[in-house]
Amino acid sequence: MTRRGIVLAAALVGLAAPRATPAQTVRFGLQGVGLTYSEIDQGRRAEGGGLGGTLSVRWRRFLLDASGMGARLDPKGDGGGTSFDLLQGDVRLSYAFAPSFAVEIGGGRRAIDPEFATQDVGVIRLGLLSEIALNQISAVWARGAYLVGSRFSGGGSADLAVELGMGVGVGTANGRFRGRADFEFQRIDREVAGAAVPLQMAVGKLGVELGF
Amino acid sequence: MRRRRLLVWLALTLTAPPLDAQQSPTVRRARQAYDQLDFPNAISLARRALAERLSRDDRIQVYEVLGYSYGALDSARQAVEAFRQLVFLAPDREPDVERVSPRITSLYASALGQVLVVRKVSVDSATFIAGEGQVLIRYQVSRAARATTRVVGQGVEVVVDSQLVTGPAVATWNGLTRTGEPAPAGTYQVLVTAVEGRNEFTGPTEIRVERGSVDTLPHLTGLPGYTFQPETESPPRNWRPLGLAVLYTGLVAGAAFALENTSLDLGERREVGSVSFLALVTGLVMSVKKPDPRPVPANIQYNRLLREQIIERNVQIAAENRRRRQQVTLTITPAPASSAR
Repeated sequence: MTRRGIVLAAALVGLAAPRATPAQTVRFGLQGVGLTYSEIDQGRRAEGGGLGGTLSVRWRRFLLDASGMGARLDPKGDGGGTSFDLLQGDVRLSYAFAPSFAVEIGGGRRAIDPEFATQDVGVIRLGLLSEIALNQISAVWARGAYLVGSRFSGGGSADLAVELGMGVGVGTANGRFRGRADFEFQRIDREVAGAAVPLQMAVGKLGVELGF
Repeated sequence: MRRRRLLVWLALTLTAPPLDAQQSPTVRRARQAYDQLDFPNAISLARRALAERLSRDDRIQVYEVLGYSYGALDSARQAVEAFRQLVFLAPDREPDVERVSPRITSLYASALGQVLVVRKVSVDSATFIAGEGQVLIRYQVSRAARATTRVVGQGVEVVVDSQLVTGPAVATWNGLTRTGEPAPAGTYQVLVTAVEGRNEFTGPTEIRVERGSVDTLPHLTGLPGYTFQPETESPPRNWRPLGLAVLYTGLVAGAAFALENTSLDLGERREVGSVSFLALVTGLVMSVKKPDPRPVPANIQYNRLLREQIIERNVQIAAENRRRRQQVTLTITPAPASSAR
């Protein structure tokens, strides 16, 4: 899919969102995380799980969303490799310019331990967020972002770096409690000295939130 | 002299109450002595009766026998004294001028002029609108005095008149209480109190007040032709939640597959599969689930305006009812003699 395709998809999501999402001042939550990480070629794949947390603050048209997760990944592909710990933090600030449709800016940082088991990554993201209520107690959301200025611990750069996400939440009518599931996909076509060393990651999260 | 005694006897015979109303034998014997024109014996028996414990009626009889007997014996001073006591006991009782001698009538009048009493308190029957008409209260005061007329009863006490009077007088009452409300139905005492120096005497009578029905308007709970609309409605079940879930899931999952780097391996893609499945199930459940009632702003606004109209109309009705209650018709009649003191 080209960039044009991404923009078109985001526009379709936005057009399908006729109502504003319910306002909620503060939410924080805890999530279980499962993820698959691959890099370089088909033989380098790792899978694992861990815990994550979220904190979101909504004020008028702004939504500040911070999340973090820590996971232990073990090699699954044929290419060998070692187990490693992944620690990732993301911050997103969005502004709703239309009902259920917002622009998003943010940053993220992923740290790996041991240090050179794979790449530490730092990104700046520019994207779109669409969230729409299914009814009074549930909502779905989708986001897409282009990652600019990606930085890697092993050097190199990425011309194409994108991020997609979606989720669903079901809670009480007063917004106090909510269960949510999230999916995030990240593709970074990293190149080092003309050689392609791509990264790719898919994350699934399942958790609960408390709202105030 | 013999003829005068006969007239006195006839007068006493015709005006005296029946003997069976007298309880005391002494009083009965005094009356019999007087009836036989044995005036000294009648006086003696009456004096003896006064030493006994007598009922009010017996005391009235005794003083009447004494007054008439002294009058028949030309003992004017003692006759007047007896009549004074009689006046205090029964102010409305007086010799029948058609049947007793003018001398006895004169002595009674002389006694009446020496004491302060309120006599012949009576109330005319009347029907009128409270505050607009009036009822006449008639009475007589034996001497010049300030007479204050009050109506008391049913938790109401209202002074209706105060004036200096001598002889017959008339007071009026418009049927209103001190607060300006029409008097409640029931029995009232009309008390006329005459005051002259340190002398005071109160003459009572009883009246009954009946109220005519008041045709008040009922308060409204709705307006004719207008009905309250439901402020919430359950929207019809629809597949919009599932459609949105399919749209969002399809777009993101499809884009993720399309954007996936084929040179890399994401394994079984459990992450996108499980979250997509949860989103689709949520959409399906929310579509099948009975929709929650939602407010209908137009109906809420309509009902608010309707309530305001009803409140405004009820305020007008309350004012109209207050006016109508002030217009109540009162029927005032003297209470039957058995209940009057």
